[in-house]
Amino acid sequence: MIPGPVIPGPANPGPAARGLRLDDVSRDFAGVHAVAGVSMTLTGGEVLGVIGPNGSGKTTLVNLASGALAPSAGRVVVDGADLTGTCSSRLAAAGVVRSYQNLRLFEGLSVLDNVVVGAQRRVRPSLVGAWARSPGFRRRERRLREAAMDALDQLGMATFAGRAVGALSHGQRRRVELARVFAAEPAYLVLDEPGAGVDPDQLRGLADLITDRRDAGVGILVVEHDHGWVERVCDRVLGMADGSVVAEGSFASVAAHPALAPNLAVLPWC
Amino acid sequence: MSRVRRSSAAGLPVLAVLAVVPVWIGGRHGYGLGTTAVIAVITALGLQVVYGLSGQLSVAQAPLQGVGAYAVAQLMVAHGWSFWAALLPAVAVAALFGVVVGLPGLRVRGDVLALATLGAGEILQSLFLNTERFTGGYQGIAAVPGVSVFGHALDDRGLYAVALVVALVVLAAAVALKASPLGRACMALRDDEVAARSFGVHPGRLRLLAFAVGSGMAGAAGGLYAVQNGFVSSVSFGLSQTVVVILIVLIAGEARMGRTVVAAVAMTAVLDRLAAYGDVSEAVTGLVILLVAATRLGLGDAARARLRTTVRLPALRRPVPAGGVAGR
Repeated sequence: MIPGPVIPGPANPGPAARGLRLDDVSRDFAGVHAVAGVSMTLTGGEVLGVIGPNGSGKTTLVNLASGALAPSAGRVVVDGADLTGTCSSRLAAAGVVRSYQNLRLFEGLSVLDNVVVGAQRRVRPSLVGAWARSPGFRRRERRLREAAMDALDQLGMATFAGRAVGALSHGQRRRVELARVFAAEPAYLVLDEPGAGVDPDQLRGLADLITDRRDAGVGILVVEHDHGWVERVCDRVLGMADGSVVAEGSFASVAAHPALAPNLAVLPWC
Repeated sequence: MSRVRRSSAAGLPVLAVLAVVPVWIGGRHGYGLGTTAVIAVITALGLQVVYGLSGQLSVAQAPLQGVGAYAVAQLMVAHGWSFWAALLPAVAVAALFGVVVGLPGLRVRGDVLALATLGAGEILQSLFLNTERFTGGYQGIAAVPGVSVFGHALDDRGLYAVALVVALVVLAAAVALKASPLGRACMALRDDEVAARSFGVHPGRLRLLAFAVGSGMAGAAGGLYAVQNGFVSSVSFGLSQTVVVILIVLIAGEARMGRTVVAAVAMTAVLDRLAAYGDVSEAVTGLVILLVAATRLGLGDAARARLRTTVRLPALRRPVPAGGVAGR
């Protein structure tokens, strides 16, 4: 937690209202239903996995849950506050932070500053603060940097803090992105294929980091293709096909659904 | 240890050199040229806030400087204010005009925004010529008094010192802004708006704030210009002056405050030399612009990296050890 001037979250809702909730959301692209009538609730302290074939609407679901896309129909509710159709910065202020499948780092910033931008999610930036540089301001800055260094350290990237992100390999960039979302200390964390381009050892380490967050009460929604990893990490799984949730429950029950079983016919070279 | 201290440390020696060079060259011309250079430094630092930090290319920086110049001249000539009393209102007025110029930034980005600000700059030029009550129209405002301190009128050297102090304040403000949550949020927005939003950065407010701050800085430069020349007219704040400011920023590299000081001083010196050749100077200036744009030759990282592969230059910054803090 970063002390200091903070953006107030929604009024403390009752336990029943807590959670990142999608109510019957749909999203069309030029008449194509990318997501159709999906309802789900992500509560604090659980890891909810999303699996499904390419084009089944997983990334669109992530975009809807993080406010990057406004739904064509339905509602997005965070801890009882209806944030449907608002800017994703509002959802971030409400505690929903996401990562991107196709890495979106701030290319002009150092590795450390990329992560500090995550860490400063709760700080309300002010011009007067920047120019006055009061002792409190400097203390907050130091804590932001420490939080960012901690996150980098957890992902084994601390030694790269001063580098430009452009100089990193894909796997390293992925880890910087994960450090950025972890440093943001979200209430709800949405991860879009965090394992893409990461080697198996690091994928295991990532599983530990995610379960640590879960045990600290963070709700985590994760889209991932590696089914073994999903089985190990996720408490609950949604199976998606053609824009709808076709199965929900334990990994074993969802993976057995016919629409989600590996379809070898489409992979003739295997 | 803080980043601010380190970055200003990069700009400070440059300002120190600036303080000495005119003395070294000597004579009235030395101080006058020095003041011109410092004014260019301030205007360019302002554009660094708008373009370097927040990624909005404003093609109205010279007209916004003009707003500050007219405000100071008008307040001093028509209302008898001192330079010191007139400077802050001039900065505020320029900042306000800057926000208006930056309004299209809420809807459009990149080259379209550049075009929109170009149009806004042309409107400002037209206002300079057609609001005679405030600007003297085509006549401009003449007989702007000099700066005085405790009743003593300052000579060229005194004005140069005043300009240096203003530049120091502006440099400190720009560097502190860059190393603050606000500056990081601006740069994040510049690099990837979608990702910046998803970390709670609210784009509209930051974009306009950058325009306000950068234009206010231009306004301060304009105020100095008015008292240095004793005369303000719209021809001093046209597109060609804006292009020079943009060129300075391109040479220095995005959000590079220390290098902006170097680039602005160098550019002023070059333009001063070229001015002796009359019409040819404009052609040469154009050629310089062409070269910089085509080769991205400058103090920016890309240019340095390219040079390093051929000439093996030493790195400007040593790699920062773990736990340390680095700028860009």
